[in-house]
Amino acid sequence: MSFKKLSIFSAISVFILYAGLILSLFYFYRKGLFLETLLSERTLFSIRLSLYTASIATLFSVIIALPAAYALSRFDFKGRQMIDTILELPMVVSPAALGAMLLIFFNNPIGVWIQDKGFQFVFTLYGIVLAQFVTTAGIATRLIKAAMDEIPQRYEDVARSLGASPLRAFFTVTLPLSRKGIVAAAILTWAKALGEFGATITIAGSMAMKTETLPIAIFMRLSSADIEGTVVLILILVTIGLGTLYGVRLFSKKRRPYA
Amino acid sequence: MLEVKGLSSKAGGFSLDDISLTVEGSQCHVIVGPTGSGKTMFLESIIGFRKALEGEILLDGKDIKDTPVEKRGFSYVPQDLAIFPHLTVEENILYGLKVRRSKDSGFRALTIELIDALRIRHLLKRATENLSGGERQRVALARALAPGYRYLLLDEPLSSLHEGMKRELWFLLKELQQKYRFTMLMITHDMEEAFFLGDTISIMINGKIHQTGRKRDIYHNPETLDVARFLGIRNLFEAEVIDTCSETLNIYCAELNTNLTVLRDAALPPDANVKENDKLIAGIRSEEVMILRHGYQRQNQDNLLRGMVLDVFEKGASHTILFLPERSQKGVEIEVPNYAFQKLNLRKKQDTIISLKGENIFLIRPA
Repeated sequence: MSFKKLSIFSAISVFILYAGLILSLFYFYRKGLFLETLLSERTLFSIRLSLYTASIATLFSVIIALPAAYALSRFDFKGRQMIDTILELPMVVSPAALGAMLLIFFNNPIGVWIQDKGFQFVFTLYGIVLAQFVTTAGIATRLIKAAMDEIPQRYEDVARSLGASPLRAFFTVTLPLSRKGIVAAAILTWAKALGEFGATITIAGSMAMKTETLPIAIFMRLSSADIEGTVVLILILVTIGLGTLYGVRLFSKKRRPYA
Repeated sequence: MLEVKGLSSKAGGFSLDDISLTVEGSQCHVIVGPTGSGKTMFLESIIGFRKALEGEILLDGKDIKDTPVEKRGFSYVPQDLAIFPHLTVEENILYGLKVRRSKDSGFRALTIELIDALRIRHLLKRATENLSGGERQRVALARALAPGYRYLLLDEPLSSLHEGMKRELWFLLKELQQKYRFTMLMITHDMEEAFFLGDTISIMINGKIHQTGRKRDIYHNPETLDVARFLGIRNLFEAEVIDTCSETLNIYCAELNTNLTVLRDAALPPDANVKENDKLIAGIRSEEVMILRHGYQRQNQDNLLRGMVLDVFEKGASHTILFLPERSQKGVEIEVPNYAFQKLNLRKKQDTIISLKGENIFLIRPA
């Protein structure tokens, strides 16, 4: 078998693995139950809560990631390598551990002080946003940095020689040139936040109609041995998540590096 | 006037060391040097992209070493041109005026004039991605000149163009410079480009300026062996001074096994102090070696060398002849234009006589 055929075979095998898992859901799929579960007040709340918290967490992640990614992409400063490494924290530490870290933080004096001042994170909607933000901020920074790395510094240099301040050069040259990469990064961040489970359940709990996001709802259904209901919720999550990512692929396809 | 005094800069293991030069107003100063000699680093230090560790950068007498890039007043065209791909040609050209919020009608008029001078009016509404190499150069020049800066810094902007386009742009640059009287500092590794565009030329090798001078001086009197080698001069021979007179020097070239008479003024800088037994390097450009035709009057020719044609290489516009003088260890390279080559009718192994004219020989002290 040629290398080309072998590599294509590997790609198809990965596809079969995941597609097989999705297809196997249909073994427990009950047509009448799908609409009933989807339109139930509890499921609709979970969908709304997931979409709402994932969007806010993404917004915060992108806002902080934009200048951070620019700094990491353009400047060589003390501690840069350390910052670059710590961005991987959400990937090397399990989401549950990340949630536990948040919970522990809110039980130390600074965390207690923050909660006392009116920002209740533990077992609240804010906790969900925080858990999703902590999980995605590093990834958003990494993805946006990759988009900015593709834009040669020379464009900014020329902009500055023409009279633009560093800030103006950023807004008129770097940002528009990396716009597509940033949008793609934001969509991926949003999809990641949407599927976040471990950190969210650890800090926000699993209270129905309060902190029950879609992934938590799936876990709760499975815990009560409601397999058919679980299947419906998984299909909803998969449709939203994969639909979004497929959109990113189509969007990214038009991107061209500015080398 | 732009003056650089004792500028030093460092990047990794490479450093620019104590560089000084003066670019006179409305002149074109070209820094030429091999790849990796530090030319771009030097230009970036002047513009402000790179911090100069030591030295002064004086623009019309004012030190701008700590002035931000955007306030230095240098137009800049980089090697890759960096045409903004998200803007149209017109938006690219107007970028400088827009960011400076310039409403001065003079600059608008200058921009319109530049667009016409560079013959790019038909491109204004176009996206930049489909522009040809030459069109991109013109747009980059228009963008750099539109804000009306008096200093234009060019980092090998023509290096990616084919010969025909390159020459067309040389003429255009000359025309623009003469018309708008801006001061130009350009770096290149192309000697022909440097000689065509430059009023003054500096040779930079390994982070140091080895020689600065008028074109004629650089061409005829390289001051160091490195400069001579960079200029492509291969006729370099060890020599010893035998006799000195007020106007001439007599030298012995062991490698050519001959004595040569050299004109002192043409061979050495005015302040050079040369005495008997000094060891020097004698050089002559290959295009300045004369091959004598059969029956040609020889009595008025100096430094005649009898020998044999070793090889002949056709180069398009000219021929390169390798000549080996009798009883010598080293050959002489001779460049002969096609019309002269046809008249000489030279062949391999043919006996012939060459003349190394005293006024064309230069002398260098060995490093």
